[in-house]
Parts: sequence; C-alpha cells; structure tokens
Amino acid sequence: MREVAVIGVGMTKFGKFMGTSLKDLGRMACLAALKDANISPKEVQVGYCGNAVSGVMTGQTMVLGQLIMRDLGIVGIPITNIENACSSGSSAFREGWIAVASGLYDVALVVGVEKLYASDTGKTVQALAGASDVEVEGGLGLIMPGVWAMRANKHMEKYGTTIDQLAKVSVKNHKNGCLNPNSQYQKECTLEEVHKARMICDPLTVLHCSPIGDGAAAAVLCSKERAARYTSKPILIAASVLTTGTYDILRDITSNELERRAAKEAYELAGIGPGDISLAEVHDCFTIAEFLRCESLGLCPEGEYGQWIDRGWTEIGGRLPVNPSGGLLAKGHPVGATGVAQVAEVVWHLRGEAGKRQVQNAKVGLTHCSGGAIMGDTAACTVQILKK
Amino acid sequence: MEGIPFKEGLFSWPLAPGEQAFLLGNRCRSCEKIYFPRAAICPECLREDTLEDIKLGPRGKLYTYTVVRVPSPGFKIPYAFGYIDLPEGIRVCSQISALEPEKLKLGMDMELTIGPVREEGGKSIIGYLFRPVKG
Repeated sequence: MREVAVIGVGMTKFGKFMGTSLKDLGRMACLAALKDANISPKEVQVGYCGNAVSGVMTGQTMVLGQLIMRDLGIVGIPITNIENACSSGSSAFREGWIAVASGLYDVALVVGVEKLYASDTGKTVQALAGASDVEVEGGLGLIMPGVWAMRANKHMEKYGTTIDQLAKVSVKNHKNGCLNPNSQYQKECTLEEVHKARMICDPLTVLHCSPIGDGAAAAVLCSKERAARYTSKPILIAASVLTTGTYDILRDITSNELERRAAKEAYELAGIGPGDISLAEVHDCFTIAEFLRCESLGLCPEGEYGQWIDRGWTEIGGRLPVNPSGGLLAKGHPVGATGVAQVAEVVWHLRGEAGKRQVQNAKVGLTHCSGGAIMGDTAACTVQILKK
Repeated sequence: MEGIPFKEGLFSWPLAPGEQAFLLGNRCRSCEKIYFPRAAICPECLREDTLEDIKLGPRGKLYTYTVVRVPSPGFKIPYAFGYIDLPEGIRVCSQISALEPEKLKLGMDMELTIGPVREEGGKSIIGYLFRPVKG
C-alpha cells in the first residue's frame, strides 16, 4: 500500500433545501472539492458516492454517483455507490483510499450526499428506521433516539453521569456551530434551554438530538507522489478503518466494542496513540453519543467524559477539542454526507484554514462515524486519522 | 384477543385461556448457543440439523429503558421501551407495559405478556411486551 493524500475538500452548507435536488447538492460539493484541489474533473480516475436513503426519500434508488459526476463531465470511469447507514460517506471515503493506496488509481473523487427533509416527515422516519432490523426491532417500537436514551440511562446508572453533563455537549457544539458558516444551526443554547426543550425519549430532549438535514460534502484523494502537482498542503491519510459489530447480545451498552477495536487498529496503522490527536470529529448523533465515542475511541478514560465536559477540556482551546465544526448536533446530519464533511473539517484545521473555530497547532485529526443499530450493537464504524 | 401477530414464530400465539406465554427461540445442540429470534442456521456450526426450538422467559430483569414521546406511524405515545435480560442468557428489546413508567427502575423484575404493540390499517398488531412483576 502506498501513501494517500487528501488534496481537496468541499461541502455545501447543511440545512433545509427543499428546492435543491440531490444531484445539485452533490455537484456543488464535488465542484468545491475539485476547485480546492486545483484539479480538472478529467483527471479523476475513480469515483465513490456515499448515500443512505435517497431511494426512499426521492425514488433515486440507483446510479446517484454516476448522475452527480456526469454533470461535472466525469464519465467513462468506474463509479460505485455505497450505502452503510450513517457511515455511508465515510465508507465511500475509505473505498477511495483503498483505490489509490492499492496503486490501481492515482486520483479518486469521493462524495457523500443526502436529503432528509420532505413535505411528509413520516417518510423521513420510515427511511431512517431502516437502520435497524425492520423485521423485528423497528416493528416493536425501537427508534434511534430510544436506543441512545437507553444508553444514557445506563451510563448515568453506571458512572453517575448527570443530565447537566449530557446537556453541556449540546451547549458546546451549538457554540462551535456559530463559528462555522456551513453549520445548519448558528445559534447558541443554554443549559436551561436544553433541559426545557421538548422531550423526545427520556432523558433526551430535542436539543440532545441531531437534526435531520440536507447537504453534501466531497474530497479529492491522490497518491502522495502526485499530490505536489496540485497542492502545497497535502493532508495524509494515516489510517482508514471500517468494521462491523459483533452483536454480542449481553454486552455492556455504555461502551462500544467495535469502536474500541476500530480505534486500536487505526492508532496502530498510524503509529500513534490517542494522546497524539489534536482534534476529533466524532459521531455525536445524540449528546450521550459523544460520551460513548470519546470513551470507546480511547480519547478519554471510560466513564470520565462527564468530568472532561465539566472542565471544558473538549472545547476549542481545550486539551482535546471535540467537534469544533459543531458536530452533528449543530452542524447537522445529512446522513450520507456526514463522514465526508468530518474529513473536510479536519483537513481545514490541519491546513490552518478553519477560520474562527481554528484549533491551534493542529497536527493530527481523527474522524469517527458509526451507523446502524442491530441487536443493541452498531452495524458499521469508520475511523480515519489524518495528518499534515 | 383480536389482532394480527407482529411476526410468526416470535412468541406463543394464539394463547389458550390461562396459557403461559413464552418467547420462541432456538438452541444449537452442538455449541449450545441460544438464538432469539430463531436462527435459520447456527452461524457457529453451520449445520442445519443442530437447532432445536426452545421457550424463553417468561421472567427477566430490566437492563435499561426509556419512555418514547415522539410519534411513529401506528404507535400510541408515550410508551416505555427497554431491554430485558432473560436468565437463559439472552437480552431482548421490548415495549414495556407500565401504568406508571416513572416507577420503572433498572434491574427490576419483569414478566412477559402478549398484547397490542401498535396499529396498522385499523387493526391491532399483536406482539410481546414485558411488565413489572406485581408485588
């Protein structure tokens, strides 16, 4: 395997874009990434498109990647569409890495795209319910906020985690979102507002939950040797890992075994430890999720994220900034786009181009994206480590 | 009880008056692993002739739970939902039938019951639920 660099990234703002199609969103993100890489679409040799639910939401059940890239003149090359629940975009990114690392291709274009807003919200609920086994769990009444609410209650029982500590994740990420022009929400919230918001699944109010959204993100990957042709600031992919759950039915749900395993493999591949990470973009689909991710990824000891939050250690300027983009909670979560947008965020920080939310002296960044719920476990998990 | 079972082969149905309800799983005679819902083949042994049907429950302990307050098509809100650990070494997710969900406590004893879990096309969909053991 050879070294691979990210030479360009781009994304649309995340939000509600009823009049903008999936193709439009995807094309805008791809164009931004290609311009950022200073590369012609004609030089792209392989393409991957991550998307989760366009089939249900828009009827576009197939060939989305080909449609998006055709509009940019990217034709006559291998293009593959990837679905892996919330890890769809990050799984597409990993395929791009494999394609270039293997030596088969020199330049890959990866796009993640999603539209979740619809005139009928029942459609969105139905589409996202497909992230579990629809024959069993979904039909009995299990929904994703419920899964995470149950994890929150168990984490509170086991570690004494408080509702204030959980709510502080939302306060932090909404504050960060105000510094990110691409963020769906650009409004701060107070602890009291989080507590008093509409209850979704006890103890999680709506401000503990990431919103639905539309958006796209893209990245151009290139072999390290060739990267210098296009950029003076290549960002290297030090590790890219994908794994699935083991569905151990009696496991402790306050920790995610597959995330521990994926992170261990990623740190080994990158030749670093969690202490070397300058910033992390983790999958905070719910406030409690940021707890479990940071603990399972080894970024903080198990059960101690509440203390980290109390001390402000994961704020921008803290010991390990987590979700400086605003995370899923504020930046938004157009499912298929999320994993690629996380990569874009880390690339901007490592290049020193993250504007008001810039993490100082950022050298190594981690992105984490998990998706799907099967038998109380997680279906897919990706971890990428990027470095200057 | 009128209604359509949520899924065939998941729980005892229909029940005769006074008959005890169970969840329906299976067990591999070769490696002794237990599956719920029933496995079509034991993924540990990959032999089709090692599985035998077994009954699971009716008692268990509440591992964790929540109260769902957002609507999904067919479900009457609010409803409690949780994971129940069965003594056979299986954890199942289930709606919880509780008149006072605020009195639910992690670790409490639960028992299986059969009843409506949602509606579809004007008809009750029958599934399994757990409720706190009385007394």
